[in-house]
Amino acid sequence: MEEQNILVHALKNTKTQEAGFKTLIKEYQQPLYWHIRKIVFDHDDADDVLQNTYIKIFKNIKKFRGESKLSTWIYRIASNEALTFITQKSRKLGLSINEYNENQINQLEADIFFEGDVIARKLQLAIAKLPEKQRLVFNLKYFEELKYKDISEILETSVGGLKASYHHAVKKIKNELEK
Amino acid sequence: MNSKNKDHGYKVPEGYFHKQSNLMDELYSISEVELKFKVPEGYFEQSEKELLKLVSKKRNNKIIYLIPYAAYIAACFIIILLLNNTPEEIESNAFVDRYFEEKENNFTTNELLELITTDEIDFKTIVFEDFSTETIFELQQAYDPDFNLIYEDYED
Repeated sequence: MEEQNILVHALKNTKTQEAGFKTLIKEYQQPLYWHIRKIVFDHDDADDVLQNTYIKIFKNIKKFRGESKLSTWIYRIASNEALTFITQKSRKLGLSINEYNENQINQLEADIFFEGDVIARKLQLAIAKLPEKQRLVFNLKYFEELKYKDISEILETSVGGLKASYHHAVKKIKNELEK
Repeated sequence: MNSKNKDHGYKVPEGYFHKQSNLMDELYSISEVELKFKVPEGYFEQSEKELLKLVSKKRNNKIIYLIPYAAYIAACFIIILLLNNTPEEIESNAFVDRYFEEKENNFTTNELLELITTDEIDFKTIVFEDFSTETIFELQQAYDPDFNLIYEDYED
């Protein structure tokens, strides 16, 4: 927490802001990228969303009061940005979010930045078919290995609700895999 | 009181725990999928530089707070009109001027949003400084009814 306070202080101070952001980028760039990539699937889209996320962090850092962990606050921004991105993109294409996600997964075969086989694509498709919130909970819990308490702060949902979402997500993924 | 030896009476279906453990084994393979996603060579190094450049640029740019909201939307509308129409067409769009005059700019949020298509303006670029949480949420909903996450106020 002490480390976080120092970083937040640096980020809020005009003189130390640049150094603060350098640290922030070094520390969060990769985990945030992978978190976003698992929501938007495409590398270029993930890159765009990552940039938007850092801009939002930059614009809003003064509003961060230290009542939550900096990391959960940052993940909340990244999740929001990624979901806003796919919502807008799917709307532009006249697709529902689920249809859009399925399209993205079907394109993985041709994606040079995806090396998965049929099973890997099937798994991604199963994850993509989950409702947004379940997908986020699943990614954060399973891949990022975050604690329910932290996910609860990121998604502003009760721990009980998250556990239920995770349980449903796991069940649905398994059903999809068995098809 | 030691309740460990007491029979609580609850049962689980036969093989339930075994099945759960199998399920986790199956899901374990999912974590491998993460490794199947790749990034272009040197992406993170390049991206780090670009992100720093982006943030530095933002620091040097003065943020223009577009308040009041109504004036901003109205201004956008006029600019879009000017960009997309020939002078003759703008002349024939005199009804728009009249509409603005007659209404004395007392537009409701929905009226303002209906004036422009959402493709023409990025809702996210508007800076909401003096609006209440409820107002922002209403605006967000009006802009995008499918939007099911919280407005973009990133207070912790």
